[in-house]
Amino acid sequence: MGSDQYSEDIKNLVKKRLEAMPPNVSFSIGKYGDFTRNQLINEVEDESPIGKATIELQLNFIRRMTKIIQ
Amino acid sequence: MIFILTNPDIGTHYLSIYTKSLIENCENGKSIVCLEGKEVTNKNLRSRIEKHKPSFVCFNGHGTPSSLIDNDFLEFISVKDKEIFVNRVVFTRACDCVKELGKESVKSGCKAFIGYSSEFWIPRIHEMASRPLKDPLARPVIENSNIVAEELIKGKSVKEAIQKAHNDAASKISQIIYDKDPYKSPILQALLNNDSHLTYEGDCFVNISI
Repeated sequence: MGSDQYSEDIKNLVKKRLEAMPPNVSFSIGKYGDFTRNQLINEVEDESPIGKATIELQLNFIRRMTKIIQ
Repeated sequence: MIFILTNPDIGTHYLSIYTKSLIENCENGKSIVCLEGKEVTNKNLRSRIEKHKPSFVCFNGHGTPSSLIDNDFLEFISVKDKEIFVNRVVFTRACDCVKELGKESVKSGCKAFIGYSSEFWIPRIHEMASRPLKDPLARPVIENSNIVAEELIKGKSVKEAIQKAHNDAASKISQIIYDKDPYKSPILQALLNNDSHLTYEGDCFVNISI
């Protein structure tokens, strides 16, 4: 999991991607537990450990999607 | 074969249900020993391993880089227990444990240790919590991970089992990548995340002899 500080642009991108998901979706994320879409948005805003894990997942997703599409 | 199933929360409950489905559908499922819930202790696992001498140990639950976690969220296997995996193939469907527990177990004689090098993500729909096998978000993600154990049980090598899971993930991703259904996005993200962290330590050419 990254320990970096993330720019507001990155956080906003991740939050927008989460907001695009239906509100009745949750993720179980290993030892961190179960999180609704809105809880994850708050965790990203706070840059908590789970928020950082969410940001890293979304960045990894975007990087890999770019390669897959190419 | 020994399957260890913990279920202290909804994520591990889902894993447990899908693992039982895997075992029921397994041709040689009768040779599988399960250790489940509160039974999951260091003492009980050692006792079952001593008695059954399994070639394959499959753990479903929470993990840390250096340990496996029991039903009370406490470590029950750590690096100091690594000798229990000697001469066995291990698959941990749990976060992180391949990093240190896997590496150290292999150094001590574990044939191969497969696992995830980061958090394992399970997407789910709230309304399906009581019916995990019918949850359309969780199903493709957990079934993709089930492939590793299924292929090993069929006698495939570690490399073949992992490759089949990668191929299945790629196939599922290509089917939904351009889908505008907002419920497909959580599946895509979890699949990509889990698939990119599926890894192993040890000999990728070994299989489990049953």
